[in-house]
Amino acid sequence: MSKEIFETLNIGPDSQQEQYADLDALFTQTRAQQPSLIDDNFTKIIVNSLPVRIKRDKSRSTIFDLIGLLLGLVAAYWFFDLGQFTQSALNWVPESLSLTVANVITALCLVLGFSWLGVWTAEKAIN
Amino acid sequence: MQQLDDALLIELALNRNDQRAYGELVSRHQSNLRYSMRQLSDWNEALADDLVQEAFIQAFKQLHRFRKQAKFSSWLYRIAYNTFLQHVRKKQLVTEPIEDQPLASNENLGRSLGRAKRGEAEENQSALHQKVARLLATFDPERRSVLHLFLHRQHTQQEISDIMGVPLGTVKTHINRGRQSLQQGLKAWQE
Repeated sequence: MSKEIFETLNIGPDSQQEQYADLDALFTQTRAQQPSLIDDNFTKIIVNSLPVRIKRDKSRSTIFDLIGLLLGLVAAYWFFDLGQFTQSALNWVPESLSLTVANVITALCLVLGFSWLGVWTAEKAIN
Repeated sequence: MQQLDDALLIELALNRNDQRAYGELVSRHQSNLRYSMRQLSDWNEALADDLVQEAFIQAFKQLHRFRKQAKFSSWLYRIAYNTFLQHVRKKQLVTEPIEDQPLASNENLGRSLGRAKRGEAEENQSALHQKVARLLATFDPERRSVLHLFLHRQHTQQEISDIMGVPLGTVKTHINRGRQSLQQGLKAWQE
């Protein structure tokens, strides 16, 4: 039986001079004879099994953004009140001009950061 | 849809949640992947198809992690191979490691080929593929995969290292020892 296989594969004693000639011939043959395993039903099964991605609803996401912004503002306010910017925050109304650019940038970054965190938390909690 | 390249289909599947685009990717890559998994799973067709199905679903979930400079087929193979490894660990698939024992290796290969001989009622294409799968089944999963990628898919050693996430030295060792064992087994088979 094995003889027949090697005859089919054109593997003879001469080809054994090369170290891996038999092996290469065997795999050349399998490559040449690799069946096509394309099956439309198989594709359908996979496509039907795919998880549904959560698409962001625009009207809902606007609400999330507002909730997040509010949460962000509150969180930022608390942060200012407790942190090293307390004094600056207290002076905002009467002496707002005394705020440095760094103070403003830091405040904006904090508000944006907390807002993003708020949006993410609100979306996560509802979904 | 059939004329679009992989990168564009991935983009559509990812950004527009277009399942038809992903379906086209599945259709395009399923044949090679199903064949590879059959080779790794000792030609267990049902198991191979389950692994491929799981791999495609995992790939869809992780599509945002796909780096565009990589080949989608290689990335997909890596996921499928990892799925296969998880299955092996769970089910404790029986493998017959032939590591560094040439005599034992030949015995194992002989036994494996013996099984192949017994099952040969007809000589056809399927039988040839099953025999190769049985030969590979004598190795542990990692060496099996390396040999498949090297001998059948004709990837370079570096490519195999990248695809499987295995050090280049380990790939070389698997190829050298694996080829020797396979060659000896084939000679024994001829005699």
